[in-house]
Amino acid sequence: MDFTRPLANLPFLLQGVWITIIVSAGAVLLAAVLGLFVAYLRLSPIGILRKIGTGFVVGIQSTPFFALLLWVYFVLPAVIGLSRPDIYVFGIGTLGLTYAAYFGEVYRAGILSVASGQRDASLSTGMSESQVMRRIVFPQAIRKTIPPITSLCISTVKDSAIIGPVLGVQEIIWHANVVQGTTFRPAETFIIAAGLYIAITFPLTLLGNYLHERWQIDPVRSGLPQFGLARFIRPRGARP
Amino acid sequence: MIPIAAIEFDFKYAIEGIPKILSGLPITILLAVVVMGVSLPFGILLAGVRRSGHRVLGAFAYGYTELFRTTPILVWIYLFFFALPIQFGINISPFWVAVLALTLNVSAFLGEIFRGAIASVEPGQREAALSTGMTARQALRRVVLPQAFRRSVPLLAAVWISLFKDVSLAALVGVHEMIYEARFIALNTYRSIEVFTVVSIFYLALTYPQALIVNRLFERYRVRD
Repeated sequence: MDFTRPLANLPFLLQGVWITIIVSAGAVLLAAVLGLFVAYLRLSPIGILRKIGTGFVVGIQSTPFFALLLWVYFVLPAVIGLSRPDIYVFGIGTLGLTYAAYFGEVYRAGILSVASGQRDASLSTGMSESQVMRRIVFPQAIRKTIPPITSLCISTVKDSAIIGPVLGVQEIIWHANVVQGTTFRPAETFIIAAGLYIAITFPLTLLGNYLHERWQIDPVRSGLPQFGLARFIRPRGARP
Repeated sequence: MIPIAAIEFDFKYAIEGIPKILSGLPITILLAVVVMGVSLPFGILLAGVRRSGHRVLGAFAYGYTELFRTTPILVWIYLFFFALPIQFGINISPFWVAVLALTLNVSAFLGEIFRGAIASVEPGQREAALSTGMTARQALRRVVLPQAFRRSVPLLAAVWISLFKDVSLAALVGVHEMIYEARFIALNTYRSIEVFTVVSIFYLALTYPQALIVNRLFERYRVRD
């Protein structure tokens, strides 16, 4: 193992880190917003809307991201009449669209996990449906969905790696492939690439753990504010 | 971006290519089965090590799990694909490169699933078993593990589905599975639109029934407390 030559290319690899962060952040934002619509469709009392939502989720979840990427990049532009689609727009768009299905399912599970008595009680005090959703159900649901959303954000970062070799978006893997080709040190180069991915995903894990503990709905624990590094680092319970 | 006036769909080449695309299906299934078969015992081992409380081994298993859970599979596929022949002189086929990289990833997830399943069995169950005179080993084997296994069944099925989809990444290092064949046909016929539509539909048709089975398993093995 000789890390000198790959490490000399670290500034070059770091350019890829920024692209990975931008692509994943864009995709997560898109997915978080579109996911709300997906959850809305899936929970709709209207049968046809529910079917559309289910169809979208099933279609996305049953197809590999690789196939979706190829399909969206090659087929969709032709259908909507573009001849040269932008790889960044379509990469972020496909990643966001894919994860919208997963985010939507997490939101839906979170909303359904809030006890129905809470909703009934709020409605009986005279709140409107939207008030109940906004003030009672959603704040409780979002707390329960922090661990799965953390996992989804990490998965988004991981799946952004596929966009590089397939579409040519210049993220970490794309840069690593250039570096391993010029230094003839693929093992060291990809170990550094793995380290760069951990540098992106580990803070996400810490943030997720922090928010999960801080917003926990536990009458005993919530009375005792705890501070210190230990809370950030120790994972609580088994997360998926 | 230049708007184009009209597109003509021509499914002739895509339909002619269906046997070629389907010739990749056995490879996809074989790859997924081999990876799952190797990962299951490995995952059980990881869960056992993490539960054993051994400090060094436990830390190693924790590090392993976090490493492969938080890095893309593609990094490891490329690492083994390039590094093993060039730097270590090991001639390895792309198929086994994919097996190696996917196994490392899947076993990390399986280890977490088994560990979570064992931890989710109430401590009262174990205490009750111990109080009837069972040894710790008996309590584990007869009371805790059977319940833990039931709880992990639907999650294992979910991992299988995501593995089935992740196998497509092996196409990037030249394993002749479905997406590889589809890209090959698309490059040769310039009919990527139709070919990628066909391969997407194949994946949908293959994975959706499996997803339905997973949903059934989740219903069937639901824990009632």
